[in-house]
Amino acid sequence: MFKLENVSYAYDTEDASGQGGSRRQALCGVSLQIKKGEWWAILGANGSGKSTLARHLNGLLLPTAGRVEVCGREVRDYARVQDLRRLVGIVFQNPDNQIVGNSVEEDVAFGLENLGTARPVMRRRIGEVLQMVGLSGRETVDPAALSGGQKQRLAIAGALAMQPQALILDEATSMLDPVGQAEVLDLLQKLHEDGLTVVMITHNMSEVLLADKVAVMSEGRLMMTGTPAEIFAKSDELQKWHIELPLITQLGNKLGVAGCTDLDGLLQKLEEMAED
Amino acid sequence: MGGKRGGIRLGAYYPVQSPVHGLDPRAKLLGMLAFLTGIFWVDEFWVFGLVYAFGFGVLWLAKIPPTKALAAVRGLIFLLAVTCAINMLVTPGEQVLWEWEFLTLTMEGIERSLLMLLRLVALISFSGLLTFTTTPIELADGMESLLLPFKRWGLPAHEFAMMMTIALRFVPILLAEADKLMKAQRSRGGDLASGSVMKRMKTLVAMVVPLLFNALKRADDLAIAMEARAYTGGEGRVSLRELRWAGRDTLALIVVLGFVAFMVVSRWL
Repeated sequence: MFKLENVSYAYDTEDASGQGGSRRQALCGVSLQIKKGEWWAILGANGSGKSTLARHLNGLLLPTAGRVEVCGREVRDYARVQDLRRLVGIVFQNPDNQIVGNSVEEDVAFGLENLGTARPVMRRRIGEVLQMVGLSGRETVDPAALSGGQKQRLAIAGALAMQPQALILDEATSMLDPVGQAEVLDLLQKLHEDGLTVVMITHNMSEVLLADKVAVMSEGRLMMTGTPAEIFAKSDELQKWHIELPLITQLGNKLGVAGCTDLDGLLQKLEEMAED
Repeated sequence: MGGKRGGIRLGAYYPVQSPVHGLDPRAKLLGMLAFLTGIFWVDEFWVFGLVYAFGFGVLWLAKIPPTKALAAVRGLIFLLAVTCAINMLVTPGEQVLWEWEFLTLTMEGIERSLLMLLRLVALISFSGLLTFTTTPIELADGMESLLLPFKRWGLPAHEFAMMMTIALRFVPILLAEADKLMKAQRSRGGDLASGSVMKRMKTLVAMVVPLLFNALKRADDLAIAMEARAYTGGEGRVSLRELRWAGRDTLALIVVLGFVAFMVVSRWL
């Protein structure tokens, strides 16, 4: 689905007087391959380059060096930027800053309108995705009247309406309460089961445990990749990059079981240790 | 959009089924523009009587309680009273009723200021007819459609309508943010409603700066989110909603334009 080869990116920064200043390196030689249907979590401290990486996946940013392939094609080779945006949906942190429409259906329609979709198809697609995200019957509601979780589900619906093959979530649950977070994660699990590729940027360790693969970033570099269990087994390195371990892993470490990601696994390993 | 947030009244769509609500937004926009322009031509009390009768008649057709239309006037009573008083005391005339220093109360002054009051109250009360009966998005669509012919002279009709839609969408968010900042200021002893003028000004600045900063940050985030959803401007876009001009729209516009023509001609009657 995604293939990044030696990708680097630098932001232009301004000095205090507003004049052109230096360039800040946000990504340094990142190489990563994400297969279709996989669920990846991208971990890293603030400023580690996670969001910059996410924005490369649907061409919002183009690498200053290296190449990014989406569905086997270099992002610069897409003749119409809309074709790339249709393949990869992206949902951001604050739902209030990404909802465009003055009603639920109008917001879902936004991407489809941009793609020039015919009205009957648009209407059908809106009905389908609102059903999918559990917002059916709320078509005419003002998004301001929705709860945080509902707003974020609406943002996901807006991306899903374009029928993407992958969905990127840039800390999409960080502003939600536990109920809202659970709503969004339940929805993502369903979508993933239906074959959607999910790339989730998060600081929440319980969300990382849902992923098939984890990529850890620090100072613009990809430090390691692996399954959650493989990653959390390297607690010393993670702490060096200011990444906190999940509570269950911390408990396991205290009890002498490294890389534990679920309670059942921890109990099983403790039993095995007791038998030994 | 119609609703209260943080005690500040927002643009108030009144959701009922009525013949006025069902009209094409373009007809309502053109009709309202003509009607409000016509009000400036009225210069006789008896014509104002007819203007109010016409306005309240449309409100009745739109099933909007008159109190709702007059609610906007309530918030401006002080401003109206001051404007009216100044106008009354500085308008020269032949029939002087009272005089002091440079202030003069004349019959002409009273007449002029009452006419001005009637004009302002009519403008404030009846301009709401458009927003009471038209959703913000219908308004933006109507405006885009009406501005489309000017595109050939470089007017960005779609961008203008999109800007309006987004501005309307952000009104409740920014009001909620202003409310939050006001509470934060109050919790630290800064209150906009009390203290000296200087103290209030300082509190206001401390509130406006973060509000502006947050608004710019939101605008930046929204621009990226729109780009992520394939927005590249108006070219090739298909709107979900389709405006349809019907016979009733033509009829409604003819009635309004006819009345406006009467308002203009009444000046010479």
